[in-house]
Amino acid sequence: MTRAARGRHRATLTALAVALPVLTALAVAARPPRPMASPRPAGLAPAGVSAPGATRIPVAPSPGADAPGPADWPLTARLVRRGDGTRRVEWRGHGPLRRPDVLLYWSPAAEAVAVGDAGLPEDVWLLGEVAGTAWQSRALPEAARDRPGQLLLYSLGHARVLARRALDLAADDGPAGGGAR
Amino acid sequence: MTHAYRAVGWNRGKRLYDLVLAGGVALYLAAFAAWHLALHPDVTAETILIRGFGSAALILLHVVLCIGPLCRLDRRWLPLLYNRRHMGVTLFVLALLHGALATFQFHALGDQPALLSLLTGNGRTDALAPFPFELLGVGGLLILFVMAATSHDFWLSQLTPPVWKALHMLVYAAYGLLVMHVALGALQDARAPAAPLPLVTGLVVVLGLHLGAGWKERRGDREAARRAPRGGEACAGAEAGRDWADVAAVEEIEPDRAVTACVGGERVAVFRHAGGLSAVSSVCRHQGGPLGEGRVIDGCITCPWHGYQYLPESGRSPPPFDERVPTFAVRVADGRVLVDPRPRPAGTPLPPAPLPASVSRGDEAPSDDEDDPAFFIGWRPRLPRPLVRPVRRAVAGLLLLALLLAATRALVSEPFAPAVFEFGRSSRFEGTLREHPAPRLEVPRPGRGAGTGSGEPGASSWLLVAEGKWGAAERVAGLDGRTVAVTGTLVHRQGHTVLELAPDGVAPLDAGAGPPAPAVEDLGHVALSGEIVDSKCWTGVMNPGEGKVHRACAIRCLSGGIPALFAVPGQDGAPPLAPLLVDVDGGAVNHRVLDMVGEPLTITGRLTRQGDQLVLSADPSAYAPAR
Repeated sequence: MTRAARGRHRATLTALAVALPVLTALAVAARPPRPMASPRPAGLAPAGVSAPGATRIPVAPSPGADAPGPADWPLTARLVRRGDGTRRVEWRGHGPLRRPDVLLYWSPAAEAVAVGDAGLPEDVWLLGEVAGTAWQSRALPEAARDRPGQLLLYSLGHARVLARRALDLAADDGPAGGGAR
Repeated sequence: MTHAYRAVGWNRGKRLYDLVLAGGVALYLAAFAAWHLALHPDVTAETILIRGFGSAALILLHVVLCIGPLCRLDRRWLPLLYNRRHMGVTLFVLALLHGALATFQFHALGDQPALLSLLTGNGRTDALAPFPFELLGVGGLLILFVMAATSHDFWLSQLTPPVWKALHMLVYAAYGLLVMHVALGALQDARAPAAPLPLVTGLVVVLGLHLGAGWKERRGDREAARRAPRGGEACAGAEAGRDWADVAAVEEIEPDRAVTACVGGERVAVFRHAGGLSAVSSVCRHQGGPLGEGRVIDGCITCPWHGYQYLPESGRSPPPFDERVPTFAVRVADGRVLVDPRPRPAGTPLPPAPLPASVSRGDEAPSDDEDDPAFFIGWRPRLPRPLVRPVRRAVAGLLLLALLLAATRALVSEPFAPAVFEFGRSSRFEGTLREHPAPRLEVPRPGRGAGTGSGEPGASSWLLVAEGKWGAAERVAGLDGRTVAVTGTLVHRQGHTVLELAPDGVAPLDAGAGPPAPAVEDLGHVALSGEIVDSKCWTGVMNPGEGKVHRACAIRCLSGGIPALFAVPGQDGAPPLAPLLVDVDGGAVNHRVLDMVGEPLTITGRLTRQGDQLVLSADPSAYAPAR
């Protein structure tokens, strides 16, 4: 380069060396706060766990009875027996579910409900939506007092039973440890 | 050298250079995609492509900008300089792909032409954080285009080297624009402390190398000026009326080499060749390369940058080439080399000054590569042996750096939302259509326990949108409360569902009116912090569908009638809230909030719930920046 061009080059780079770090620092400092903290409105707080002191039995997979496999059951669920004999189910997701409109159902059916596109039996009972990893809780219907039934995970968008877990109410009445299958 | 203008004067070196360049870019893009897919399974293909092309272009821009000063600091980098223009054109192509994809993704298919939206969609120039970073990218891309379009030697010749060089100095303006494009764009959404590190490191390296090399050159100029002070007192034997410059002792100049001195304000190279001394301008006619750092090969002064050649005694390129550089008269007096500071017109033949017999011994023997085995000439078939290992190391280092940067970019990326757009999978649903406050389909939930006082709504509300960046209001007009069959594509994100209608995807069913609308439940006055998003992209059509980088797209979507949501991050494991955003009268706020999209806000208003659809009613003029 000519000497003049070298001089212009030097001046340009000197100006850039002053301006760019300053502007970059300002841009980084100007980043807005994220994520934004915002308390959830009272009416929308997850139901959470209830009935302190109640017996809580984990809903465990039962080899051979549950389908498709333990790894495909994306919830932690517990069967809760309260002092008055009523039963509830508490659940929380392990992580985000990439299915549209996922709902949790209880079915009184003794036979295992098929996982897949066959749809839900008519007598299922809606417990609630499944989203997020916060604990949720719903009462089981009266019919669940003397029927074990099963939990069903259902995608309304795909009209598909995603997974099932069998409940064992008898074990729930016994000593702690067996609980549910 | 230029003889006939061909697209590319291919030789083995250029082919090898381009092969490594293309392989390096492909390797980076593959590593970028692999790292993103491994660390962020929810990332979309469009996002990988847009970010991959953009980051590859920025990395190449840094490499291009580093090669020049590296060559001035260490000549072993010259093999990378030889075909640097192909690297520049490659970076322009990558930047163009990035820009074209981003323009289509964020601006096309809406209520404005994509380019108009790109240039005018974001008008927030009143502050740094919301500044339309896209315009900075457009500016940088235009400069890169001009440089790529004029990169061929045809334009170098037509524009003349000084104009061409000045034009290509705009690369520094492009660099500044593109650094700020990133700092005010992608970096605005990045919260990881290490996120700015790659950009800041690049900045330090580029600016540091240029300043270091620039100051080295300046020192060299000063030394050259000291070596050849103007004025008779320093020039023994000066003729009357002429101040010949004393540039060196004869013995200081090695055979087929030059000394460079500052004469008449510019660098002049005095070459010793074939028992004589000849002086020419040290500025190569091609791109201003330092001829004085070259050597005489095959009887020609050979530029170290691109191998352009000139005859020492005339400053002319050997036939059939026609480049010419100014020549200077030389003479020897008392063992000193004296140069007439008045340049002769380019290509003027001047007789070489004969060397004293005491120093000319052996000059007649033609020089060969053994004199300087590391002297690189790009058009030669082989790389000089001493340069093979350093060049291989440099290339391997650059490829390794590309892999590391691909991993770094994925590591510092913000997590992607678990959102899904079931593109290409159309489904049919039946339900009750609601027009207000935004078009939605109420899909009955099967079984008992729903809508019977259990707290669980008897139907799921799915917002309806049209294809592209358009709302569905016109498509469902007059169907409020009717039972309909709807065909479309699902979009879903953690309990939020949107249905993109297929063309002719809404058909009333004979069943007529559906069940009455669910009662509206008042959840009271609330203050929520979040950001305004468009329901379609935020739910999953794009990922990310929020933040600064998505702002322009959300503006276009809201302008096209897609329902506005106020996205509030979930806490303690709860899913995010995303109530529909309406004004106090329940009307759409879309066109009143365009300037506030994608910014952290706190909105105080009345929250209601109808079925499972949340609605936040507030006056847009009362929205406040989140603290």
